Amino acid sequence: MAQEYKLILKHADEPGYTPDIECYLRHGGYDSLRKALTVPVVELSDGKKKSAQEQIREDVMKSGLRGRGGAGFSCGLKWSFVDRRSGKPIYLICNADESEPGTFKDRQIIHKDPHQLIEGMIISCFANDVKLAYIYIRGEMPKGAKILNQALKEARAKNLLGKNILGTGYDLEIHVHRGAGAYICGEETGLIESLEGKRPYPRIKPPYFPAVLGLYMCPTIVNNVETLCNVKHIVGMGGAEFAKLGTPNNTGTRIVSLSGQVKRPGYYEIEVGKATLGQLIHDPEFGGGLLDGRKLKAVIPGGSSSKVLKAGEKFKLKRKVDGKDVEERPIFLIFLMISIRFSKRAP
Amino acid sequence: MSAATKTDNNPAPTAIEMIKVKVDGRELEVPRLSPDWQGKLAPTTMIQVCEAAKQDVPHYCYHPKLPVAGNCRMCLVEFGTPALGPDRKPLLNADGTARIAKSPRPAIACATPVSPGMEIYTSTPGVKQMREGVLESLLINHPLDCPICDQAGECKLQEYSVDYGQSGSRFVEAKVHKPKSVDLGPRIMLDAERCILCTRCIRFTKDIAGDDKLGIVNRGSYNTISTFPGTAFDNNYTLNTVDICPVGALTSKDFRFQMRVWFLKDTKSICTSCGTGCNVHIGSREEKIYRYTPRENEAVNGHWMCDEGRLNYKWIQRTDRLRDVLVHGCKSSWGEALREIAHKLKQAPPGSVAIIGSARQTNEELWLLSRLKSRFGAISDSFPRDGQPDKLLVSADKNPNSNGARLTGISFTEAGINLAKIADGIQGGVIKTLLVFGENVVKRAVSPAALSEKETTTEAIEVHGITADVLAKLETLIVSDILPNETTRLAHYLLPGCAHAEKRGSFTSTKGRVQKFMQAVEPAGDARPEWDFLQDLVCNVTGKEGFHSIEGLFNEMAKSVPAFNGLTWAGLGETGVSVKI
Amino acid sequence: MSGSSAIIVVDDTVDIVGALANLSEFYAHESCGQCTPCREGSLWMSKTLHRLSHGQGRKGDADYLLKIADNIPGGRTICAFGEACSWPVQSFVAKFKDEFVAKGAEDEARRARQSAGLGGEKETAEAQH
Repeated sequence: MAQEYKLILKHADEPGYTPDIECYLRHGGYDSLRKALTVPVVELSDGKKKSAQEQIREDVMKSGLRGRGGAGFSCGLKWSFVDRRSGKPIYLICNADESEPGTFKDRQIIHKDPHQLIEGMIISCFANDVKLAYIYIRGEMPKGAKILNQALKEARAKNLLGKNILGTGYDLEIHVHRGAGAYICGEETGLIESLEGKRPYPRIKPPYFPAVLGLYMCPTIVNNVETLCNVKHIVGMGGAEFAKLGTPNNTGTRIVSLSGQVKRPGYYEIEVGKATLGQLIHDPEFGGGLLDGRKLKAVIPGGSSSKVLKAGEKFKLKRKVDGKDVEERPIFLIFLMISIRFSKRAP
Repeated sequence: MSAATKTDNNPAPTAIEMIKVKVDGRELEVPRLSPDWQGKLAPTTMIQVCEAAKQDVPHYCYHPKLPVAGNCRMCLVEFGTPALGPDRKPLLNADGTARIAKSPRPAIACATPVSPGMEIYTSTPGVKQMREGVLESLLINHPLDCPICDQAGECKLQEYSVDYGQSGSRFVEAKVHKPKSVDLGPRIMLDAERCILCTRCIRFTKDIAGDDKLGIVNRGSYNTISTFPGTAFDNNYTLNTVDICPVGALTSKDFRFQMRVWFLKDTKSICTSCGTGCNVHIGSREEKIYRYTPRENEAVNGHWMCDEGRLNYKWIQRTDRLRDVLVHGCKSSWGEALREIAHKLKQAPPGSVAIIGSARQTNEELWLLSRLKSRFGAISDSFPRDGQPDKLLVSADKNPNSNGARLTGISFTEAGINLAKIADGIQGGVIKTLLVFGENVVKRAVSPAALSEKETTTEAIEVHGITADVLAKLETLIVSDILPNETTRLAHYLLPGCAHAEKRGSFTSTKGRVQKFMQAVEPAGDARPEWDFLQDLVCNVTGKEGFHSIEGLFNEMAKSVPAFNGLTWAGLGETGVSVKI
Repeated sequence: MSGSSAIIVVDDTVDIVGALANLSEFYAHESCGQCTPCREGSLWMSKTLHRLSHGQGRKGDADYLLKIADNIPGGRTICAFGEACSWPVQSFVAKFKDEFVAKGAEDEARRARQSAGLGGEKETAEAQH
């Protein structure tokens, strides 16, 4: 029987859980940050030293975390592309421009548990030597922007953000930047253009890969809200432990936003690969099935930009692991195996 | 690989690495780095390689002198790169050649750098289909304006439609409409419907003209080029956007609806509005000039010219042009007038002749004047014309041939320093004969008494003492000019001359570029090229035969003027030659 | 590996043509307009679907839509919006082709009846005189 696995949304919907920092701290908040900031430098056999930042980045790579914005690109790999030798400042941007029709998971995190995002962001910034980071939030979430600004204020007050964080000598400032209602600002280079104050025309790649020529032509990382939250958990439990969740090639949990004509539309966090599409739609803990008297016609399985699946369709698996047809009532697919990707090739 | 810095041990920059690539099966060697739009070395792009291979890749938004935008998607090509095995070593075919892995996705040729062993395919069915797709997309909302559009005949949409267009349209929806005659600025009209949003105008205005005035408003298919509301698109380079606009979206208010471009005769010439000497195409039909457009010359003006220079041709067609040879106010013939002048000159006592040439005359004319000067020991000068320079093309020197005047000996290090001497000479009765070519001497004249009160500084040279009264003291005043003015009215002998578009010749720019220009239209009335009748006069006066072809004349001049030694008329080519000035 | 993990469930009361028209209107509105295929193609598809869902369709509109949509994705655009706006059209039309064709055919038939009906009325009027 498929079940929810609440990792990111562990506390968000608990009765009495509030977005303020005191509540977050009571639930073990910012422990992972403390852990990340105090990772000791390791001496290698050849005399070279491995910094805390390198270790955290390696851990994220080991965890197999994939981006949760839609492209599913390996987070560790994305971080490894950053040009660390140019001498230019490295920026990190949290992509909170959740505009894909049908997706409403990031708003839950922002509105209900903003400190988780902030903690994940601070850890990610630390791991990538970032001194200045931005949260680009869509213009249609004014309350979210307010909540985030308040949370940042609280974090600064507790020396978890700003100069000399927790006395470690690490400086970081995070600003919230509101968008103005354009879906294309969710595209990473469109977002960067918008953040720079220009029209959000995405940049051509080559040559403008954000890891090399991003914000203000400096190396930039753009990560989704949920991805950054996962970084906090990776540091908390360790990359190898995180990699045990989900499936070997696709680790961790995902927050599924279920909508349409089901009895219980909403968001459900599951381990990747541990629930099939059919289960998500029909099981009583998830969608609860279609409305009475209705039959399934189609499912759009990955946000509106993905290819629609027709009820009764047999699907040949595209993954190199399996080549067989799989059946599941009434959608003949397994959730994991859909290789529908929002974005282009991985370089 | 960057160029090594100069050191004492290594004075020459390192050569750029060459790599082998294939274009449509043909192998060629190209440098790994090539100059980009600013001239800086950057990774060589596919479109540069295709150009070297003489394989045209159609494009709209790409321009070699503008930053790359990559938005029209017309230059999409297919390509393959050498396949690597799991050990990162190149995989080989059975015959030992490198195995090429074709990329599943196409790439835009204007922005994608080439790598060693890359193969570019520009003529596959897939590429053709992509080009057809882009062209169709551009045409679905494009208005059917060809019959009234000025761009017809030099329009990229028309050109590519021949190769990639469909004979019938399958678009049955309503077209997007946008404003059609938008007064963008004092010289530019915008038709937003025709615009294909290549953004060449925006990039030019921002990055070349340095005036970030144009942008895009609205979203998606409703994208429209605009200035900030309430501002005008007005700088001295706006008309270049009309040249680079691939369609008829931006049109010149001056040239709109004037003439179909396929009727225009193209003459290679030089702009005469300042000393830069931008190369131009003169577009004319049946002795009427319709427009100037810039001609490419990397050594002088690149692809551009300024608006002021571009629009400065209408005076050539003025109805009050000097057409007749006048002797003492009466119409005469060239033969008679030149005979009389030669007679008068031969009789003139030494030191009694002065020559005022113009820095708007050609090298050849100034040289012929200098031959007269040396024959008569005449004192000579020309007039300076100074103004405001700018950061791009405009020179502070508003004369096209100041260097020509100087190098031939008509004027000296500073033009105009001899004018006071000439005025004194005339006043004192020493100078009895004055030749004036192409300058309205009395225009900026003040009485010598007032002049002596001023300091003799460079600024004072702009104003001089050769007034009408002073000219009245002359025995013989010979004037050659193009338009009537106060000086021509005082002339004893008036010889009508030619605008540069009506003759051939050469100028020497402020930077020492000797450039030739060709004849576009016939002179007005009886007017003759100054070099032509000057050659007659010099022959009459010296008794020596000279050349009556511009080639011969130039070559002879080049032998005698040290700065021009070694030049030939043919050797000037279409882009001129630089000399030491 | 499932996009942004948003699942939208569609049941048999939904008019697929209308649903796709709604979706493509969103994409036409959100296209930034920088590159040619997406800028022109997204609005083209939206207009076609609007026509199809408002009684002005044609039987051949399904193939017409597929041809338009095929010119957009696959590296022809600067960003993945090209895929985003064209994949729904490609997949909806391919998998529910019968509905699109039927809608168009129905519209064509109705238009034919209307123009025939007009001719019939004229005859009656003439006969009355």
